[in-house]
This record gives sequence, C-alpha cells and structure tokens, in this order.
Amino acid sequence: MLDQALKHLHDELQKAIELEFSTIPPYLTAMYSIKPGTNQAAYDVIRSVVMEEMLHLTLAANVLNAIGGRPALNVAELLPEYPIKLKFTDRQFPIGLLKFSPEAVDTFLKIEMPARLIPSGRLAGRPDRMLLGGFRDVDLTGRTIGEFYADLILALEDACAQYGEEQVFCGDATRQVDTRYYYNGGGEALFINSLKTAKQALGLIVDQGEAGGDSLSDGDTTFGQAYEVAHYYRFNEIRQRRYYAPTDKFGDQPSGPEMLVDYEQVYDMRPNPRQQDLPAGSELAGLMSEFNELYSGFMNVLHEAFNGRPDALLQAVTLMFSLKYKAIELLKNPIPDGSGQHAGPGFEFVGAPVAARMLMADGPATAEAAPAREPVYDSV
Amino acid sequence: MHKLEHYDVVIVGGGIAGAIMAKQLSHQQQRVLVLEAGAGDPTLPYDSYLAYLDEYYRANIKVPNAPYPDNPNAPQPSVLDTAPIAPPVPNTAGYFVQRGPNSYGSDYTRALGGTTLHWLGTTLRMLPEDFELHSRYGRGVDWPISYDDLLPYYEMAEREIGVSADVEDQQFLGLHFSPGYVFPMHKIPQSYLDMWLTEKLADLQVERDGQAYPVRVVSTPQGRNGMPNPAYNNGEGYVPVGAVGRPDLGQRCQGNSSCVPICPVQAKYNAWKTLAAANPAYVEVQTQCVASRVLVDGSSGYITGIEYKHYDSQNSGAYTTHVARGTRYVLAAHAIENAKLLLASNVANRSGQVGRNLMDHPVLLTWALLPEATGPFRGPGSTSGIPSLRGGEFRANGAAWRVEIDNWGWNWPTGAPYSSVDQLVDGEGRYGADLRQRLNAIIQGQVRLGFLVEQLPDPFNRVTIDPDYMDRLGNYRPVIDYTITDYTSAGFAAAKQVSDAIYDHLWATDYTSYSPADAGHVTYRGQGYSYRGAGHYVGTHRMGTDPDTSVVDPRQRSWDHPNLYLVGCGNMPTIATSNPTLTMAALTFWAARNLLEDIAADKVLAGAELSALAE
Amino acid sequence: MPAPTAFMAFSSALTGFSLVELFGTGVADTYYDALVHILSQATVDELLAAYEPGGEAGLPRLLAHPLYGPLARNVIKLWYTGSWEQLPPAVVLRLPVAPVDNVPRVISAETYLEGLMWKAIGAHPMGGKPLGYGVWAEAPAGHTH
Ligand SMILES: Cc1cc2nc3c(=O)[nH]c(=O)nc-3n(C[C@H](O)[C@H](O)[C@H](O)COP(=O)(O)OP(=O)(O)OC[C@H]3O[C@@H](n4cnc5c(N)ncnc54)[C@H](O)[C@@H]3O)c2cc1C
Ligand code: SF4
Repeated sequence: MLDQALKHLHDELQKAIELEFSTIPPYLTAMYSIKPGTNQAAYDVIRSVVMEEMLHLTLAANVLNAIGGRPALNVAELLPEYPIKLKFTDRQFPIGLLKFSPEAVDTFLKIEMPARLIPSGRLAGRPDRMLLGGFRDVDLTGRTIGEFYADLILALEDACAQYGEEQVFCGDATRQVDTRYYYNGGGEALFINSLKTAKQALGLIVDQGEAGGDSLSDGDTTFGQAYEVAHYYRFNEIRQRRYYAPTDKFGDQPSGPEMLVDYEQVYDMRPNPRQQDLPAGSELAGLMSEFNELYSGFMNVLHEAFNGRPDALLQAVTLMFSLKYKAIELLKNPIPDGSGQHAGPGFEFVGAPVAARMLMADGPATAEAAPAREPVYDSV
Repeated sequence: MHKLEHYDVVIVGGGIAGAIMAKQLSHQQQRVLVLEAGAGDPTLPYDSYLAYLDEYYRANIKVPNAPYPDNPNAPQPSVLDTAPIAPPVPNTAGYFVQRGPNSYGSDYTRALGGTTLHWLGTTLRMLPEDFELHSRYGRGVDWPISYDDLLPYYEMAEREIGVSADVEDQQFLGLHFSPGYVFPMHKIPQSYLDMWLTEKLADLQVERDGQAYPVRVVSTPQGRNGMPNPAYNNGEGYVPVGAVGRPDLGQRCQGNSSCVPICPVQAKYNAWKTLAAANPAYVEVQTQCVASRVLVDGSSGYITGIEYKHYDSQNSGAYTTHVARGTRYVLAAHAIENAKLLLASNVANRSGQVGRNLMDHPVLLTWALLPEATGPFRGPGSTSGIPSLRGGEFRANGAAWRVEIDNWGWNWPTGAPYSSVDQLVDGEGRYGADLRQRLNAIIQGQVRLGFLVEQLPDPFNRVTIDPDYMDRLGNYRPVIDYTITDYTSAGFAAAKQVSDAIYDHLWATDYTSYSPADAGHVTYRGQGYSYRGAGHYVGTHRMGTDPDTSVVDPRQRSWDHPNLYLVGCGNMPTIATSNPTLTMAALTFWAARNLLEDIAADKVLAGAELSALAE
Repeated sequence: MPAPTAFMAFSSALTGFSLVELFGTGVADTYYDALVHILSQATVDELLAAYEPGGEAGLPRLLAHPLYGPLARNVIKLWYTGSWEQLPPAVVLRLPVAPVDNVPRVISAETYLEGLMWKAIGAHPMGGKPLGYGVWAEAPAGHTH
C-alpha cells in the first residue's frame, strides 16, 4: 500500500533528521570549549563538519517534505538528551557532550566510521525493517550512517517503482528550504521534487560523511573548496595531528602538514552539563536556563523552517549566533563548587513555544491523542 | 619580480580598478601583469586576511587604516595625521604634504586589494542630471557621456561588486533602469533606526532656495551580501561571493558592524574577490613593486615600459629597479597615485590637467540624542539615506548633498562608546549598576547623520610633486593644495539647517559641535562648520571631449598616448553626490571593453598588413 | 594567575556586572595579570585591601581617593573597553609604574571582543560576535515600543 510505504519512508527520514541533528550539539560543545585563539585548525575542522551536518539535516528534511512528510524538531521525546546512545546492529556506543579532548575526538570518529573500517567484516544482509521506537536513543538498522542512507535510497526506489514517482513525491514545493534560506556553507541545499534529486541529496550526505572508493576526498567542489577529506578522515587528522595529503589513499595515515593540537587550551568542562547539576537558584543555573530556553526557541524556529516557513531559517541562523555566545559564556564559568571544572551548554529542550504550550493546556486530550511523531507545534 | 619579458597589458595597482581590468582582460586571454606597491600574498590566503582582523582588534585607535599596517616603502595617508593648516606652513605630519589652506581629510590603503578593503560599500548610481551639471546649472563641467551610455556598465559593476538593493526604492530624481532590471540581491534590511526615522520624518518638508523638498528615507544600495534575487539576470539568479579562500564565510552580512575598517567575514565586497575571479592562467600579480615612472617613446608617444622599485621587506628601504614591458598599459593606482606617477614621468599631461580638480565629499556630521532607543551599533555602517536633496535647481547656487543615516551612534564624531564610558566614569564619577544603565540609556539614543557635500572641479585643488618631499624609496610624496569654496560651504549651511529641522522634528537634543581646532574647519557667513573626509578622491585625470582640458578621452584612453589607459575615480569630471566607486567601476568595465576593442582593431590591422604582404 | 575572589568582588561592584558575567568574559585572569604587571602586586593588594572593609558601600569614598580613585576607574575601563588607559601623571608620581607599561593600549584581541561596554549598550563589539543577518532591523533588546 502506498500509504504504508510512505509512512515507512517518513519514519525513516524522520530518523535521519534525528540522527543528523543528534551529532550537532556534541560537535558544537567540543568546538566552543576551545579557548579563543588556540587550536584554530581543529576548530575549523569541527566547524566544517558541523556545517555539513546542518546541510544534511536540511537535505533530509527537504526529502521528507518532498514525499509529503512533516519533519518534527520540537518534540521533547524526539530530541537528544545527552549522553545518548548510537545503536547499530552490531555495535552501540554513547555520545556525550564533552570538551574538546581525545575522548571526544574518538567518539566523533566512531560516529563517522565508514563501513569498510569496521573490523567485524562483511555486511550483514540488508534488514527489511528499521527498528522502531527508540526515543532519545537513535537506532540504526544498518551498520553505518552510510548504510542507513543506502537503505533509505533503496526504499525510495522501491516505492517509486511500485507506486510511481509522482505518487511518492507528492510534497508541497513551498516547504522546500533552498539556497535562498540555507547559505551557511557546507554545500548547497537542493530543491527536491523527484527521485533523482532525492538520491542526489542523500548521496551527498553519504559522500560528505564517508568517502567512496579508494579516495578520502568528499568529492565536494562546491564553492571551489580546497581539498577536503570526508568527516571520518577530518577527525582522524585531529587525532593524528596531521593533515592528509591529496596523495594519501584509503588505509594510509595522514602524511600532509602537521596540525597543532593542544588539549590544554580548552575550558575544562564537566561532561554532559545539565541544568539539574548546577546549584538551584544560582546565577550560573540562571545562565544555563537562559541557554536552554534559547536552544528550545531555536529548535522551534528550525521546526517552523522545515514546516512551511523556510524563511524562518534566517531567524534560526541568528539564534545560532546567540546560542554560541551563551554556550561560550557558560564554558568560561567555573562551577562554584571548588572542583575547578567549568559549566557548559546543556542542550536541554524545555518545551514547545508558548503558543503550543497553550494549545496543549487548552486541550490536553488533543495533545495526548496526537501521535508522538506529529509535530505538536505548527507555524501560526 | 615579474616573469615575462613582454605582456599584453601591464596594470599598475591591485585595487578594484586594477582588478576589474585584470579580470576582464585575462578572461579574453590577454597576458596581464599587475604591479602592486603594497604588501600582500598574491595567492590571497585567508590567513593573511585574518592577520588584518587581528591587527584591527588590537589597534588602540580604530581608524580606517588601523588593520592595514603602515608600510614606509609604500606609505599611505592616515586620518590621524590631519590637522588645521596655517599656510604657508604645510602639514607634513604624515604621508601627505598638505599646503591647505583647508585640510584634505581622507585616507586610502596601499596593500593588495586597495582601499575597498576598508570602504563602507555604498554603491549608489549617479543621477542623470549629474552628468550635465554645467548645461543644467552652469556649474562645473558636463561629462562626455550620459547616464544612459553608462547604464549597461552600471549593471556590470553591480554584478561584480554584488549589490543588494530593490529597484522600486531607487527610482527617484530621474534614476531609471533597464526594463525588468533587478539587482543581484534584495535590499539589505533597513535598520530599526531607519524605519523609525522613515515613520517620524514622513511628514517633514524642508526648503532649499525657496523650494520645498520632502525628507524621504530610502534604503541604500550596498556592496554587501544579502538575499539573492531569484529574478536576477532573467531568472538565472545570483550566487553571493563569500570570503576569498573561505567561500562558505560571508555568504550573508552578519552585522559585524565594522565594515570600515574591515569586514571580518568579507560579506562586504573587497577587490580580493575580483582578483580571485581573474583567469589565473593569464594574470600574474606581483606585490611590493612600486611603479615609479612611466617610460615613453618621445617620437611615437607610445608608452614603452613601467619602471618600478621592488623591495623585499617593509623593514628596510633596500630595493631593486626593474622595467615591466607590454603592448598596452593601464594605470589603476588610485586617483592620487596615478596623478603622481604621471607627473613624475611627465606623460599624459598635454592639457596640464593632471593632478588638478581634486575633489572629495567633505562630510558634515551632525549628532543628537533621540527621545527613544533605536538600537545603534548593530549592523552595517549605513543602510539608508535621505537622497531627496541630491538634485534640484538650487545646484546653481550651492552644493547638493546626500544624507547618510548612520547605524553606529556617535562612533565617528566622538569615538563612542569609548568616549561615553570615559564621560560617565571620569566625568560623572559613575560606577556599578548605575554606570551600566546610564551607558545603555545614552548610547541607545545616539543618532548621527552625515551630509556628503558636493565639490566642484577646481584647477587649484590639486596634487603636485616636489623633490623636497620624497618617501623612503625615493618616490614622491603627494603635495596637496585644497580649498573649500563658498559653493561647498553653502552646501554645509543648507545641510546644517536641514539637520536642525530634522532634529527639531524628532524632539532630539542636538549635540553637534564644531571647533576651529578641528582638522577640517571653515567659516561661512559667520558660522563655523567642521567636515571630515569621505575617502572619495575624484578628478585628478579627468575625461573630456577636448584634449586641451582633459587627460583621457571618453573611452578612458590617454589623449596623448594611444597605448595608455587610465582608470579610477581620477577620470571622473565631477563628483556629484554619490559615493564614486560604483560609477568608477562602471567606467572601468567600459575602459576594459575599449581596450579590448583596440586590441581587436590592431589584430585586424595586422591581418590586413599580412594579407597585403601575401599579395 | 587566577584572579582572586577579592578582585572579582571588587570588579563586580565597580562594573555592575555579576560574577557569572565577569567570568563569562573569560578574561578575568588576563585583567588581573595585566594589573599586577602594570601596577605591581603590592599596589594591587593595597587597592583590594582598601576596598574590602567598606565593600560596595565604601566605593564612593574609595573612588574619591586621590590614588585609589584613578586606579579603580582604570579597572572599570579595563573591564568595559578591554584597554588600558593612561594613568594621569599625578598618580604615576606616587606609584612604581614603568612608563612603557602606562601606554594606552588594547590588552589583547580577546579583551577587545570581551569589553563589557558592548554588552551594556545592548550591542556587540564592532567587528566580532555578530548578531546575524538582519537583526539590526529589530527593536533593540529590552526596548520594545
Ligand atoms: C573610509 C573610506 C570609505 C569609503 N567608502 C566608500 C563607499 O562606501 N562607497 C564608495 O563608492 N567608495 C567608498 N570609498 C572610496 C573607495 O574606497 C575608492 O573609490 C576605491 O577604493 C578606489 O579604487 P582604486 O582601485 O582606484 O584605488 P585603490 O582601491 O586605492 O587601489 C589602488 C591600488 O594601487 C596600489 N598602488 C598605489 N600606488 C602604486 C604604485 N605606485 N605602484 C603600484 N601600485 C600602486 C595601491 O597599493 C592599491 O592597492 C571609501 C574610501 C574610504 C577611505
Ligand atoms: S555589517 Fe558586518 S558582516 Fe556586514 S558587511 Fe559590515 S562588517 Fe561585514
């Protein structure tokens, strides 16, 4: 049944959105914990990956919108609460909010691990269903993010073959977030209205994340970017304190110029900062709750942007700036408990915007009845 | 030092004018050499831009040239060196030798990329009437070309610079556009202050020469990245150009509020972008090469080479002398340096006009406290202006001006917010929460207007050279004679009256004050006015239809030397009321086209000769 | 050197910014070090000792003091602007301050960007910490009309 096939695709793409999103706060936290004027190269590496994750998020949302889905980004149950776990069929590991450190870089490497680097060997047969559920924990049936997307592409192809491309790509074009609104780099936000463009978008996500063949390059020449290796290798450059050279091949360690990395020049953030761990009523707790409010506002605006108001993305970008400054302010503050450790951004979602809260208050029945994956809040 | 024995074209100066030339010529497979006096890595690495940014952060006084270190081998003027002048004693404090009687208040930048590194990025077109100042108002001179002649080249310049504006807003005082034309990007959002003023001033009218004019706040076209207009170029759209070497940065203006002296993300256009877009297979850029003489063949009048001094380090005055040779030559070293170079070489000056008719927009600043908070110190330096008095019959009697509405409080006139902190802490003894609140309150009310007043071409306002004044490499320092005439002062007087009317209307408290101790100060009809420089050096090698009164012909080619083109604001016969660079860029595209036409004509000629031989 | 608690309390009272805001600049230590470098440890200790007994309530008296007053005002300006302002000659006469240390200057690129005056005026440092595209079109924070 078309409906069922679409529902399945919607679920998978929603998962893709959650997946792409869930990596962003950990990357941002590590990035912002770097002291100003230090570790510039590492900062740039992480930033370049974050920009691409944001692009991936946008692309996944565009594909979901193109097939008539509704991306959800402001539902507490769907948003990460750190540390989260990333589960694959054959492995799972926690992802936390960590300061820039060898442990953080190792986690990043695990997240971005390309298929052929997984020691356990051969690909398991492609599972025919995604694991369901998994609020907060992101379940993946494939083994790598790349394989997850490969499955998604196959499912899209199947659906198109079976029910016709037009039936599948039935979304409202005005819900697409294109280059007009998405501009912060990482590549181009594609307008999606066909199997071809959807495959292009999902292919781009995979290529930027993992390189194919023997090359380490992400093959991305948009904006005339300099030689850039795929995410895993970029993080490996940090770990090895050395850039890859264009001549390096799969399996090589980087052999390009040295990269200066100094893990001392980092604010000593306590892992997985949370509101509840700060002395209640303290000024610092106040700053944290300002951050979390801002973050929640950001998610709400992002949600709007992907639900028919693409121009809201402009506001999201400005909120990103404020989020960054608040996060850094937290990171610069010692926790006043004598531990010497610093506070940090919690990325704790504190709720839908006022309008939506009122909606829930007005009709709890409606809110409860709504399936968890339906966005509670829609642009008003 | 340069690599080839012979180039198709040798260009002096790596600013916007030189860059446009290099780009246009190189894409037509012309081998181009760009000689740049200042420092800069020709590969334009992003890190070297960051070094400028760091320099800016650490500069104690953040004047326009603060990020771009002074280089004794290619010195540049600094606004910190201006002072009142008491003739006959010149002010020789900085690079300029200023003989006055009035002070020329502007600077420029000598480093690869030139002055657009620190320009504001205002990109207004001239009014059609500005091209006919003499025939319409009996003042100045007419241009040998009209607004309509320049129209297609304005469009090229707007593409190159990446202008954000809405055509609907820009159709005033006869300004018109090609059918269906839109700018590459939509207008930059107007500031909260702009909108506030739009509303408050909607019903205000002012008089000039007995005629009433509205005070209309209009968004200003700007060379900074905004939202691309999908309708641009017949629906092709436009892709904003980000930072050189980091194209993902600067895709949109982020409101760093430091366009002058430096845009941290290069959302604002600078000439690096054009240099980076030239065809690298055909362009060679050599920095630390100061052109010192233009060599000419006495009998044919053809230019035969550019002599230049190459230095290895800014820390030493040691240099070597070289000559770059090509078939054709372009001087694009800035209005002052072009004129200096021509005078030093005694070329292109049959008219005696080289170095003369130097103009600027003396800027009359006025500042006040508004009764409401309008959020200054956010966003680009200026997003709107009041253009309604840019043209009109009054120009027969006094200078026109454009009002720039500034978004950075009293930063320019008083150095706020620093000065405000000093005043509250030292002057009023405030501290703690009271200080914090009070500072917010006074800054939030700060508003500042700038009246960019027109000057007329005046042969006695000029740059000359004098062997008594040389720089470290033995090149001439510019000697400036400069007078603010009554025509311009009449513009000041009218400006101040309009400013008074505006502040009255807004219930604002005017804090404007002018002192004879200010570097630029004139008295007119008993009133004192202080002006600043706008950085708009115009007129020093003007174009015209008569070789006896102009330096270049309407095609921008030297009347005297068939293989020499001059580009830059020096070619502009009058300054009118628009910031000059967009018009100059348009002229430069026109010059590039004409130079290519010369090349094509030569080819035809050569071909004809060949076929004659064959017969 | 980590800025001692006394210095932070003194700074908070002088600037009107909370401790979390001061720490949030990340340059508290930089300022303390700069002061010790310019004025000497002994002078800084003396200044803090002069503040401690009276605390915030004693500030008007301290600010009126011929020596501590100018020093305290320089501490305010340090936090507000990120720059060292030249001390007046009358003060320098009474202190072991080296002339080279008393030149007006920006302490560092970071202190410039962390100047509290930008926060106080509801803006951002010119050239850094931008607010994002188009924010300048919005009403200033805390001033809705
Ligand atoms: C503070 C300020 C703000 C401004 N804002 C605006 C604005 O908003 N709008 C506007 O329209 N205009 C503005 N301008 C003016 C604008 O910057 C200039 O009109 C423009 O940069 C001129 O371009 P150019 O290429 O002719 O000269 P430049 O940009 O000055 O470039 C000349 C180049 O030639 C090089 N050079 C100089 N001498 C030699 C030599 N002897 N040999 C080799 N190379 C040499 C220089 O180093 C430089 O790189 C502003 C100017 C200033 C100072
Ligand atoms: S406001 Fe900022 S980002 Fe925009 S052009 Fe100016 S300096 Fe650049």
